[in-house]
This record gives sequence, C-alpha cells and structure tokens, in this order.
Amino acid sequence: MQGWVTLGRQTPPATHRASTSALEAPMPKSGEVRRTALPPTFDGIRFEIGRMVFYVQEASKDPFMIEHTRKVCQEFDSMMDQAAQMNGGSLAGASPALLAVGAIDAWCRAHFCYVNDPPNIEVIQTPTRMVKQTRVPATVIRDVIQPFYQAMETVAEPSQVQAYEPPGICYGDCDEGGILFMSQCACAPADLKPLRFRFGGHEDTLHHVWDRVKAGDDWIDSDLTEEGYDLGDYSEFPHYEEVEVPL
Amino acid sequence: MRAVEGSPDTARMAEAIVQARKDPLLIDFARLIAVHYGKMVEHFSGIEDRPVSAHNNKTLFLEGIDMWCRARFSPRAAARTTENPRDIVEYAMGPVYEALALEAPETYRGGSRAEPPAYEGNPDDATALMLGLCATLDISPIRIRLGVREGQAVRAWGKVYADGKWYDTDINDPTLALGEAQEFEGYEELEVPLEMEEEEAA
Repeated sequence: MQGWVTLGRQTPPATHRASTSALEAPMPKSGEVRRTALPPTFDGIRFEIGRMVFYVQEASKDPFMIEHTRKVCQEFDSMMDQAAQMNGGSLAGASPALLAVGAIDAWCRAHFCYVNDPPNIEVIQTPTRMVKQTRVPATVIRDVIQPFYQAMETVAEPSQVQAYEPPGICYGDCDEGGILFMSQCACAPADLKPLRFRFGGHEDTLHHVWDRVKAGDDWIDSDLTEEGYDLGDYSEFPHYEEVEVPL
Repeated sequence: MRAVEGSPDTARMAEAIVQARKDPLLIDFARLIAVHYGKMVEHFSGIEDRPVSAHNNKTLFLEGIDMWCRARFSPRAAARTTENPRDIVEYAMGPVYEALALEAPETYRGGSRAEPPAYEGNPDDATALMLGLCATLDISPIRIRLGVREGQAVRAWGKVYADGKWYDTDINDPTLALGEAQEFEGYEELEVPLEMEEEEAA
C-alpha cells in the first residue's frame, strides 16, 4: 500500500442547481434517496429550497426524529450539568433553547461528514435516513471496508488496526447538512423558532446553504460543512438570502 | 473475460462513467468507503503524530476508492462469479441497506450470506466503475488514458484530478499503486463529459 496522501485541500462548495422535473415527487421512503438532475437556474434553486423545507416539515412530525432529538438533547444536558457541577456551578439558569442548539450542533458535527454531490446531480437524503446511517452497526461497515483494514496493517500496528471501530457517521453536501441540523431543531424539546435556511452567493447565483435558528433572543448560525467552524460561524458572501421553514 | 490489453472501447467506458454518477447505489457506496477511509487515515495518522484531515479530502477519497476496487476486482478463485462490476458493490452494500430498512438499524444482526462473487468481467468495465465512483464524489475531471503500441491503443486506465493534482489509476495492474502507470510508446487521453445532459434538464 502506498502511504496516505497529505496534499488534500478543501474545494469550494459546488454551485447548487435544481430541477422542476421532480416537483411533484413524493417524499422518499425510508432508505430511499432523491437524486435529481438540475438546471443551473434560479427556478432550479427555488425547487431545491422547496425540497429542503418539505423534508424539515416532515421530520418535525416523525416520531423517529423526535425521539432521536430528545435523546441528543437529554444526553448533552446531562454532560453539561456534570461539567458545571465539577466547576461548582449548575445549569439551573441556562437557557433550554441555547442548550438544545448546542446539543444538536455538537451531535451533527460529530456525525456528519461533508462530501460533494456528483457533477450536475443534486442528491438529497431525508434526515431520518442520515440519522439511521449513523446507527448501522460497526460490524456491517467493517465488512464493507475490509480492504482498508488489510492495507492499513502495512503501515500501522496490526493489533491497533484490528481494534479500530468505524465511527457512526453520515454523509452529504451542504444542503443535506443543513437539513440534518434544521430537522433536529424542528424536533427539539425546547422552542427553537423561527428556523431559517441561509443562502450565500453572488447576485446571480447562490453557492452555499447553512442554518440560522432563533434560540431565546439570539439568532445563531450553524454551518456543518466547513472544517474548523463552531456553532455561530459562517462564511462571508457578497449576497445572502434567507428562507424561513413554516412549522 | 477479455485480456487486460486489447482495443479499449472508450465510448462504452465513458458512457458507463457518466451513468455511474447517477446511480444511487454507487453514490451511497462511494460516500461510505471514501469517508470511512478518510476517517481511518485521520485516526492512524493522528496516532503517528502526523495528522491528516479527511474533510472533503478528495485525494484521500480517491485513494480509498482505488484501494477498494484494486482489492475487490482482482482475480480470485470463487464458487460464484460475475461479469458485472456493479454486482460486487451491490453484494458489499447488501447488509447496509438491510440495516437501514429497520426502524432501529443498530439492532441489525445480519445472517448467513452467500459467498461474495468474484469479478470475471472485462477489466475496462471495472476501470469504468472505479472512475464512476470518483464521479459520484465530484472527483473530477476524469480522463480515460490509453497506452499505445505500434499505433494501436492496447490498454486503458484512468486519470483523475484531485485537489490540484492528476493521478493515474490502473486497478488492473497489481504491481502499480495510485499515481503510477505502465510505460507505452505513446499515450492518448479522452476526457469524460460529466456536464449536463439535455434530457436531464427537461
């Protein structure tokens, strides 16, 4: 095996394009993925925004997503409470909304991996499918990527390689990341509204999408796709647009 | 099975690559293996104190795809064989889809499975599938590279652009690694058209 290559650099997000051909398409069933060829027009972009809004609305009523989000927030609260107690404090005065946004953002950053879509094809998965991907047993993933274990043993300690457990992760581009975060905000036990998709680009096109959520008195941005970004960080663009998700 | 060297049908290969980028199975599969390879490299490079980020690292993604295809499309003895390279991917992804179909994927326990099929198809089809996997992650441009002897194109492999650099990828030659190619008297290259197709825009 050759050693891993270290020259990778981040490429800019692909320009998003959408299509009118699937406007009447039903919600994908569990396990299915919507895959659409997209004309590079504002009509196309508006179509894509419509799908994203629809997926969040559907997720807000999905018992699977509601239960998943409840656990994410509960576990985060417990962890933060323990940390506060160790420092002699407590979470008594903390904002439930800010805690919920922090919990969802942390979960997404730990489980979502950014990849580009194929050229001129827009792939959109439902948030339920993405959350389910993170729960596929490691043994199943291990079987699929077995060639990597064999190869990695040539450059790392074999016992360490065999002990490696694939993490529970999901994958997608910026709109899938946006849907994943926003859907959980829509399901959160705390009141996180309004929810907005925020688009950045130039006057003639939009390049990128991330989320903006109202938590208490604060508007908070979340962009899962940029390496090194934390909750609140977002990229600068010459032009921004926002679309609110009606819930 | 055609010998690795012969007259490559580049039009057929290019069409297979263009179609592969629209195939949901191949999109899912490429995302899975590429990102997990990246995570694995991140983990072990961190242990060696020379950390490598896998964040949309297309060079790593390409390396993972090349490595997987090299391992799974190489000849081996098996009770079952297939001439369709997609069958190899479909077999690998079967349990993933079975788990995703459950309300609680974490409860998936699998079961006995038939032995994986060995690939005995046209080597150029395996090359096209490998390049198609690259296309699903927008690791592009993608070229089909031809080795020429005595005026005839006798061997085909891929040339892929990732993160600012071109890489030869010939998964049918076990003596080569990613970035290497056999030497020929001459070479030809064909860029695979991944731009919008008319019927898609309708």
